[in-house]
Amino acid sequence: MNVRLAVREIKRHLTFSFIIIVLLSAIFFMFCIMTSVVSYRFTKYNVFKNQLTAKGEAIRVQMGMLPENSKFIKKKSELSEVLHHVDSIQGMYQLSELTYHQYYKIMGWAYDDEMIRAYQPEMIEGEWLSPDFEEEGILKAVVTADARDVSIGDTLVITEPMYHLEMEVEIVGIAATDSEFIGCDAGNAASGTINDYFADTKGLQNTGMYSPGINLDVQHPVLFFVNDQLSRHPYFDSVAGANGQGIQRVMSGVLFITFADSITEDEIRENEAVLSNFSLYAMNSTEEIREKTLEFIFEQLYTLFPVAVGIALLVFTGIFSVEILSTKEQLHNYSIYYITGMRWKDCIKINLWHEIIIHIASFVIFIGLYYISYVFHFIDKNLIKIHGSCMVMIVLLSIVNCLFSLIVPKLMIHKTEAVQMLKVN
Amino acid sequence: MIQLKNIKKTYNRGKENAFEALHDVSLEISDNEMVAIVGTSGAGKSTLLHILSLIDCWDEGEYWMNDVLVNDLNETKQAEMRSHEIGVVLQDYALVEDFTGINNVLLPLDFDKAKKRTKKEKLTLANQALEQVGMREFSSKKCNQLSGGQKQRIAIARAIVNNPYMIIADEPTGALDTENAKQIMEILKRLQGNGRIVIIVTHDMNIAQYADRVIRIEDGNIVND
Repeated sequence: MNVRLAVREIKRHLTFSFIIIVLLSAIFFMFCIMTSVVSYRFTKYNVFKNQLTAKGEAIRVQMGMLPENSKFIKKKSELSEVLHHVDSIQGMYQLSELTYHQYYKIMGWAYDDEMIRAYQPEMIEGEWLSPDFEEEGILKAVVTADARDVSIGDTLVITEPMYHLEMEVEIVGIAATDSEFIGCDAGNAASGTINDYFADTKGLQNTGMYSPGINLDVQHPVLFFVNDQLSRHPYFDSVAGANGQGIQRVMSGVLFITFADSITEDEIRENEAVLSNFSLYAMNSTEEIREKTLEFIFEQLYTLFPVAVGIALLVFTGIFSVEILSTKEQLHNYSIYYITGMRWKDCIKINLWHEIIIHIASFVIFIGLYYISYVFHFIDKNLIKIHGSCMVMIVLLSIVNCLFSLIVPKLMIHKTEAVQMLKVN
Repeated sequence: MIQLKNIKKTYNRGKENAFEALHDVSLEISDNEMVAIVGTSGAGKSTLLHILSLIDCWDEGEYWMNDVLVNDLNETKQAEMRSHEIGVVLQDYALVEDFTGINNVLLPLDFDKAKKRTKKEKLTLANQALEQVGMREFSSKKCNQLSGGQKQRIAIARAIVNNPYMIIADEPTGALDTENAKQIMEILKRLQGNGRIVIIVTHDMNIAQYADRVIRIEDGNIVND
């Protein structure tokens, strides 16, 4: 009965109801944007949070070489053997120039297990890499969507043109070409924040190095591998260095080294001195990157926050004003319901149901608008998402509004008799 | 039987502009009676009527209905009484204007939690009530499309749909022309009987003549009964 009367009240005051629904949908959208902005800024930080909160080094590498023989660094153990108190090393590796479908060029990159677990780029189809890929058997890889004529489940024959080596690779996933991957862009100026440790495929291409014949203005697709799986493949283990036969693999891109808590400052300095001989591109302590990243995140938020609060206050004021006017309009009918046998508390419940229905309608419209914006690319789908925190804010606002819808008529009805309300309203 | 014993009602109690609308009012109304409460403007007749119909409260005194002390009833019980023991007709009709006639008449039935009725049963009762007041053919029209006299008939139909013990009408003909007023009073007169009490508040002695008994109230006191 109360729901039916609430629906009737909404129909009676269609203009008020429409205004409230539009304002609420706008507020919900604003919550979505705010939480997305905050969340997005923490996304990259959270990928490497464990590393950034430990003592260590955040390094960007472009073809890392061992100092004693200028051979490429192929495995992380080649670093851990010469450093003090290493807790973990996780890096990525560039492969030498490859082709697929006999003719088309493709880049190859491999990640250590920890990096694979820490972050998954945007996938279009299939699955991302997994450290659990079988040790033996066919290599598994993820390819970017710009690879020609490649589908999930295909077995590509990948060729290393210099030594005419062929290997079969099973495609288990297709990543979005415009996604961000763990990596760095040697062609871009560094910000000193965690953003420097993510790059798109163009950035990866800028960091990798290829033979002189390659036109780097042309964007090539990328194959991603699990580095441990490559290590068990004969074509990779036999590489002896730049002059060796086999598919070359060299540490490039992002490298995180964390040290044990027991390491002293002197030992850290010694480690840094050793690392500086490894032809790395840039090295910063994890503490430095953490502080600069958090500074960057909060700087942006401090700028956004007053604006968001101002907009929210304006919209809230609008909503509450319209709701008070709407409730006042409904008091006349509540008086009639009271006279014909309804209790005041049931009349107030009509107001509550009225509010609940309005909020459900607003939420549906908000979701509809979000997906229309998503489908027609009015919003950046990587940035604006409906997070759990957004839903929490929506629920909290709805609860506050519903409580308000109970209090306002109670205050208006208080000490006012039904007949007086009929006369006044 | 309705009994009021030493009823007092003060508006704006405790404030500078406090006004005692009823001083120590006592009266008794028996079953089947039609009573007219008359008095000049501000005499307290509407206040008395609103107390009788449980849409206003009182400060002191007792209100008995058929040996039940209404003072002791909680909000739920009083709401039930308003729904199926008391039918109220007000001067300005108090209809939900954009409801149809029948939807207005259905309100007391919908709010009556004491009696469970199906939708069909409610519609039957509502149509019967509209038939009694000659408004059956207007049942699906919205009230804002009806004339004053038609609206008042709908209000009466709503007041009687639950077969209440008492019908209370506050200046039911106040906004009507002579012909419509006469028709409304004839309807109310027909409702008297079968144990039902009809109470009318009016300042018009022509209207009061329809009643079996006239109670005169002046300055919050009953001066003549």
